[in-house]
Amino acid sequence: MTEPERDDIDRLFDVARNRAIEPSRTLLDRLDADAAGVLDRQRRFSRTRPGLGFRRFAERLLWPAALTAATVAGFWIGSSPVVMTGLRAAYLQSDISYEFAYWFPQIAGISGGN
Amino acid sequence: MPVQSDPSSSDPDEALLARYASGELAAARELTRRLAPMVLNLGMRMLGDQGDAEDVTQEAFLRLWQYASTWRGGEAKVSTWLYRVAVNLCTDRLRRQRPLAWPEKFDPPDATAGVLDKMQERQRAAMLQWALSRLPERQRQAVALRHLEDMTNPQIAEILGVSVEAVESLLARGRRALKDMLRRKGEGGGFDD
Repeated sequence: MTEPERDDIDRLFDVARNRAIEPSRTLLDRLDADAAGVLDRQRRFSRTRPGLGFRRFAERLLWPAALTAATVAGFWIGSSPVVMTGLRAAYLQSDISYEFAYWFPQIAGISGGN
Repeated sequence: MPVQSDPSSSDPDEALLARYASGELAAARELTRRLAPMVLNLGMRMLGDQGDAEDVTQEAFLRLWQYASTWRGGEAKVSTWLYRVAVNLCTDRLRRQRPLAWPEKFDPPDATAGVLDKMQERQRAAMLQWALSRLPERQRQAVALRHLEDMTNPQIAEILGVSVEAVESLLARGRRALKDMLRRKGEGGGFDD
């Protein structure tokens, strides 16, 4: 591959490239102050929030435990005789149970509660 | 503070960042001495104003400090990440700025050879700045990184988040647009003294 032909635009780029500047003392001080400030804030924040160990415990155990508890509670509510009685009564009194019994005799027994 | 980067990383900048994240302020100082000139000059070349370039440098480093504790080692080089942030910050500033004026008033006060050279150099840099400021955003970023920062096309692709082919296309269109603009300004395609 040959070197692309340099033209006037490259001379402009050369000039711009050669005008490199060094960061001033003031700028470096500003950068250092920011670094110190962020570190300080993070240290203060880490003192007031739960430790890493607790957060890892929460991530690994609390969330799955909470999810499992919610699922179990859902099943319990769904299969509870108290809740089922109300729902079943509503179902049996509706037209849907009649339609089911008429069109699908094989499930009439289920609809009828037998 | 969770540190996911490795202090013994092969990238010295990443190792410094990890040391800073674990509370070593001296590491931040060393990192700024290594990378601030690069970011500052990128800002200077893209914005043409030292004050703006310093502000961009400070903002880019501030973001780096804030991100240090969650830095994921091996995903990107610290310098590439900083370049990307700085390029985006420069672009945001350029969007807000009014277009630069064509640099016409450059009469040298003292016609000695040294001063003339200096003035011509300044004028050329200002001409380039003027033309760059009129390029579409992506072309300007690609041209600045390639021709002013001497980066390779794959490096530029990583910074801009595009393919190498897209970078090549941006560079070709950018160069062509720069030449057209400067030619239309009456330079006849040449920028001779």
